[in-house]
Amino acid sequence: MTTAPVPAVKIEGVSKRYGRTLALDNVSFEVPPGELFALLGPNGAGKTTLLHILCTILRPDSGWALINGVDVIKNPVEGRRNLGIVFQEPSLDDRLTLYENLNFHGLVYGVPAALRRKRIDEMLALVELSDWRERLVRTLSSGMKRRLEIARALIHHSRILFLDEPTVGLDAQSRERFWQYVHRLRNERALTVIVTTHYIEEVEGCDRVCIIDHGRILAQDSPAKLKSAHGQELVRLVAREEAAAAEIAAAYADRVVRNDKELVLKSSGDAFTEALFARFGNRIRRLAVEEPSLESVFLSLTGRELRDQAAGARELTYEFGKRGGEHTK
Amino acid sequence: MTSPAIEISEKPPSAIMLQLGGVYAIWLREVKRAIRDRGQLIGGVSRPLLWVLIMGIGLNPYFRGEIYGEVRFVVPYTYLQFIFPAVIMLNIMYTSVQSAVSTIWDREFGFLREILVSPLPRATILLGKILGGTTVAMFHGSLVLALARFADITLTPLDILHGLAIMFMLAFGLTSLGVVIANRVRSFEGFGVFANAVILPLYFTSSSIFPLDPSLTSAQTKVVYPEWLVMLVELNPLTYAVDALRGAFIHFYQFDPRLGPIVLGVMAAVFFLIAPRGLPKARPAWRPFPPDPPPPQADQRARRPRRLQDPRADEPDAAVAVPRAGRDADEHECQRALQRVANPHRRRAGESAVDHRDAKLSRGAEILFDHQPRLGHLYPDGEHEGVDRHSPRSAGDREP
Repeated sequence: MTTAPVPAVKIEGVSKRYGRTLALDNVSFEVPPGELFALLGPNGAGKTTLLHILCTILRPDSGWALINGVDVIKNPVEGRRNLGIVFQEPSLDDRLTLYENLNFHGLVYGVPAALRRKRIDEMLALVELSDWRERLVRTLSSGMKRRLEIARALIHHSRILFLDEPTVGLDAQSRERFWQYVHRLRNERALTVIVTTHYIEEVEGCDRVCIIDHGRILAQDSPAKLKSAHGQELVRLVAREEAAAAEIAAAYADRVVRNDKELVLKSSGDAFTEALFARFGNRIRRLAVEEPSLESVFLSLTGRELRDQAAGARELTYEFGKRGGEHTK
Repeated sequence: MTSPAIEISEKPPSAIMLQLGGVYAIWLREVKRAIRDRGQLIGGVSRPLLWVLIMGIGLNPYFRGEIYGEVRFVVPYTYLQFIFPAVIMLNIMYTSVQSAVSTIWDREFGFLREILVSPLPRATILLGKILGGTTVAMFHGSLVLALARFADITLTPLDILHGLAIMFMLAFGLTSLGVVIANRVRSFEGFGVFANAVILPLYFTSSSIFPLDPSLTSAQTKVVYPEWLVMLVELNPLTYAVDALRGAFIHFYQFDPRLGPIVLGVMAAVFFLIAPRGLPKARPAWRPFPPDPPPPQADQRARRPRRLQDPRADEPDAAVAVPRAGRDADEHECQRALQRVANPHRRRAGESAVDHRDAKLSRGAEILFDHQPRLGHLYPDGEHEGVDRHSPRSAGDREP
């Protein structure tokens, strides 16, 4: 009906370096209004850095960041007025009550008194914390604190919500509830949400996913399209003995994705599985066929699995130690 | 386009209203936190009780001295009356410092970030913070006034107003000083040391518990007291604060009555102007766009002191992939310093040491692979990929 809408968030050619590490390497993307956009990547991929640049805590070494068409680098105050953010670490004052925390936020953002009171009530009701209104924040559970932080981020009626690893440290139940609120909020008002996460299952419900690793964007598209473009049916198998595993790996050398505790092969359909079975069927202890999932998308894009990302280096060190370190070789 | 649900956003508030609202919000928060902090309140009550009732009453009889066999009133007031304004100042000093602790607290526990992301300028944030601390400090100072009866001091409303004005200037200056120092101190422990190392010496040398007799000439004063002590007292700005408070409450001045307010005003202004300097650089001065900034690497190297520069930085990459075996301790220290600076996972206050141990381990592995990519051959193919992938220097090494 009108010309193309101004993108809610636009990042162009942003780079950021910490000392020798390049945290962001020429990152560009656009998020249209109303979208639920996920930044997926392991710890240290640069997700938080990107969000901090968007909310003007950090300055990029190069590039532009625009929020609702406003350049946040030139005009940080205007940019900040439009966005709400939930930081990775809690940033509530736990010696104030819930109401006082929200009121503080409203005052600081210049929300007029009557509107402020109305919104605080609305928001508390929305995240189901109305009964706790006069309690000190330190008496809340961590799931409740997260919900309160969402409510706070919306007090000044931000159109864009940044959630930085919002569900880290929450149990499965609170995590699910947290997402319920986010989805409900999106339905009630046209809210653009940008969320960073390293939980793959949370990303399935998003409109678009941007996979980011070592500061580079590897892919961005809707989950379904990502799956069909980069997804790969995988066969995971555990052989009866080491020798068999080595033999299978040698036979399908070009298909091996990973070979450690279990052998992961790229599959090209049922025919492949049947051929594999016919040849090595009696030497396999366990075999599973995995449909294309975001997990496998990530695996094929980065060559590693997201789940062990955080622990990757650590586990390697342990392994190293177990083998006696460098002295025994 | 789909957005019928968007509410029409209210008009952005005028800049002045926004600033006032911000100052009020931060002020209110400081005051509320202080009211809820029992420990602070107990300190604020017990300190004057000790000083006035025990020190004051205990030393009262010894205040009138006898010099050269001739009884002489050093000061035409009792010791209780004399020490009373100083105790007000002591209370204000402690409370101001306490509000500086809350600045460190905010920084360490993330709340400062919430404030810094808000559309408020730094000066407004500081003003709110300092006014909040000032209010609390003035309240604690006023608690002492409840003991005026025991000290035999009659207070007229005008005296009280005069006193409150002086107390406000003093508290404002001291709270600003607290914030200045809190912005430069990295830990609570460090601040504790500061508090004791600064408050008590300043208090004792401010002519708070003994008078420099105004009836004596300066030569005579130096006979009674050692010269260095007289000098310390005269250099201490708080001497004039106590003097101004004495003037307000017992109408006794040791110095020129105009001196007190001037010294206090200058102190408040100077410290308030320095205070924004140390605030974390969350809102840097933005460079105009474009041109592109110079490569940060070179930038940083130039700014770093020679001692901390990586001695290998100028060598070609391939030559430094394996560190030399016989490097000296100096170089080792230098590397450690660099790693500490570069380590984004280093433990900050408030984080548990146990998690940190894991982070350190994984960080250790990364560094190891960064500097010794040949270790890679210890692993079966593909296994170490995750770690050294992003190391620019190891890329050439791993070519088959």
